[in-house]
Amino acid sequence: MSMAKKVILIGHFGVGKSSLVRQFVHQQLSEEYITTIGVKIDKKEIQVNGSTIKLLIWDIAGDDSQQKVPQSYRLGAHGALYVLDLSRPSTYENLNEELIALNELIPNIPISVLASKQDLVPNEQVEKILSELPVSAKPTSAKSGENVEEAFHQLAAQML
Amino acid sequence: MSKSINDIKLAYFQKRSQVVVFNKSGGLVESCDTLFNVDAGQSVLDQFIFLEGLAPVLQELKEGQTLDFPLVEWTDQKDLLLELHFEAVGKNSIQWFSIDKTFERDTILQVQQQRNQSAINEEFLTIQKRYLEVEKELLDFKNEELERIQSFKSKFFAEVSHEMRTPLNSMAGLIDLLQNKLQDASQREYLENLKATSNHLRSIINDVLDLSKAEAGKLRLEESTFNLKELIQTTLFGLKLQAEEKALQFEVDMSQIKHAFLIGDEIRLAQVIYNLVGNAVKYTLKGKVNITLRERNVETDNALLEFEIADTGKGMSQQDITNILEPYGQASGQNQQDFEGTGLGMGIAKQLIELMGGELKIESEPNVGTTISFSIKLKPSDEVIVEETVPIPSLSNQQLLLVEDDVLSRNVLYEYLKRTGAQIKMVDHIDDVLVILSKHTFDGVISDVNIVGGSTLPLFKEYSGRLLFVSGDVLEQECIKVNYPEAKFLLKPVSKDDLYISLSASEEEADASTFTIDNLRRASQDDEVLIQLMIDTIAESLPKELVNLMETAANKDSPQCKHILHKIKPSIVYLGNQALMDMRTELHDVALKGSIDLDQMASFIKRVEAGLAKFLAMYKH
Repeated sequence: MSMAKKVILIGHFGVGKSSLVRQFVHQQLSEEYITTIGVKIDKKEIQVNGSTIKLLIWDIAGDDSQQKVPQSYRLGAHGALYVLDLSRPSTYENLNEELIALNELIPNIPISVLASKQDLVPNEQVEKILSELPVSAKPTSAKSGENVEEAFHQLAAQML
Repeated sequence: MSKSINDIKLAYFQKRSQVVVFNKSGGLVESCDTLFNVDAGQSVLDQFIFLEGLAPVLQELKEGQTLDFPLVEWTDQKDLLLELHFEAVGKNSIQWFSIDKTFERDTILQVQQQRNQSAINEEFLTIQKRYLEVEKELLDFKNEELERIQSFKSKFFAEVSHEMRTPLNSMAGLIDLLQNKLQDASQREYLENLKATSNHLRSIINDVLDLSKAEAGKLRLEESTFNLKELIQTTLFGLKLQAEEKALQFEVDMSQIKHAFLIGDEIRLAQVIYNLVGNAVKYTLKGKVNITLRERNVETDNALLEFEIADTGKGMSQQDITNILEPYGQASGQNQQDFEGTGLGMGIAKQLIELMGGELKIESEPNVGTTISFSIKLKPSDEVIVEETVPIPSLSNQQLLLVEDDVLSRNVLYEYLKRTGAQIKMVDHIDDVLVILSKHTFDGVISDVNIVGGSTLPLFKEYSGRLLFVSGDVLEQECIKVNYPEAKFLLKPVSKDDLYISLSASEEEADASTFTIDNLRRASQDDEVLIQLMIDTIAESLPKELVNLMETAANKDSPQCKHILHKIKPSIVYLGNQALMDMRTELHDVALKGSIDLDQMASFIKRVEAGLAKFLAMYKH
């Protein structure tokens, strides 16, 4: 018997949240940037530690501040993926403050930080950026699928 | 019958909205199914993934509480973009109101997409700008670093070169000393090679020093008024001889030069011309080297001087041209075996031309030839410059010995000395000097300090005539002063004026010893009584005439001056001093033209008075 878990994807606009979902759920990639309107909900069942989990993935339209996103979208979330864009410093320059604010908005749920568009940034620079972030972040690439599956699985395991 | 407003409104929203009522456990109470179907046989909460995640939240809603979701889409309802509104009705029911916003999707998407895209673009532009700034900072840093390295290099070379010159000069001196001690011919030959090498090294160091100073921006141009044509002729004199030795046609065209005198750094300009023409002669094996100077009036204050040096030498490729403009660069195929050179000459010339505000241009074709040109602006001299031409001393009837092993220097000095009317003998090896001195009597010797076989310094201890030493090493001067206090010294390359000044001074100093009674004897046919009578007459009349001459000259009475100068001619001739005779003739000719040179006249009168006193002391009984 599967259990449903609501996962929200949050972060600045254009960081690649929808691309990560599309890669994870449909193994597809669109090079074209199409902005998300409001919230787009998708689902995928995965196996974690012998259990089947139905992930209800709420891909919330990005904004430079989570305060501007309707709180209703986040209600009932079991876990969150905060996505930043390795190629755009503005999406992680204030990461610490944004995560603190997020913890107040969605307390007591696991939050994973994903560093997207790894394929666009040289490896040395990726390592440098990650080492300078206030929290650990998993480098991902929706294009190659690098770490995408793992990121969702790890969050799911944390949500159990 | 027309519909009421409420009917119209209702009809409009009916099509675009749906209401579902369900209890908190998911059981369907009612649904209008306008937008999507709700299955009554299944929990409402399980039918829509949107609600699946919200179930616990909805179950917690208290009566009257609401939840709004402005814009929602989910995979099961692909075509719908919905606005959702939830409200707890009673204790156990939820009223779910959906409004279809699908028709607004494109507009929303367009607005949002544009906003996001422009924000992202702006961010990328900022990043790009920052990147360019960083790149520029890096480039500036690199340039600063390069400048720092360049400055250090230049300073280092300048200091090292300067420091190297002193021991190198000492080495040259020691080599000279050693040459005089060695008897073995092969050892002396080795030493000769060593000396040639040290001389070559010294010229390299001087070039490095110049280039380093130029690169470090420490090379300063001096300004003085100079005669351009004379500068060119003097500078090219030796190179012309070199060209002639190679049977090259060597032509200098200065017909288009309008101003005789210009203001600038004549020494550095000469260095540029010497380097460029020197290269042209060096790398041209047959054909010609033509030098053309043009003057254009582009501004009222300045004259634009165009220099062009065209040769029919081996020519260069474009890469060669790039190479030779680099410090120490030489064109391909040019090496020390073919041609001597450090490769610094062109670099120094380029730096100096740029320092003068010009630009060096090179056009060349392999196996055809090279044309090098540059233009510089110089101010014509406003002042009327009286050319300080040094008169060629008259040394006719004198025997001079020229000791010089360097062909170029020897030829130059010979040309200059020949013009004095002196008889010149030349030797180029140390062994020949003492031989020729033992066979002939010379009125003067002009000798290089170091020639093939050793130093000439020890050779003239027994010689009592006039001595003029020349050397490329200024340090030799001190050594000469110690060994020959009366001798004169000139630094090579010897200029015509310096040589003539040195020889004239020697002539003046020799005045006392060159007074002769020979002319008087010839005139009196050796009649001793008549000779003494004539001497008495000269002693009495000449001083009076000199007083008259001075007064007449002071009154600027040139016809009377001419008359007195003519009148005293026999007395001056009888004193038997060529210099005084020449001076009198010159003053007479000047007076004949209606002019009087008071300074020269005063000098003449003074020298005649002194000469007469010496003459009388020698010959008046």
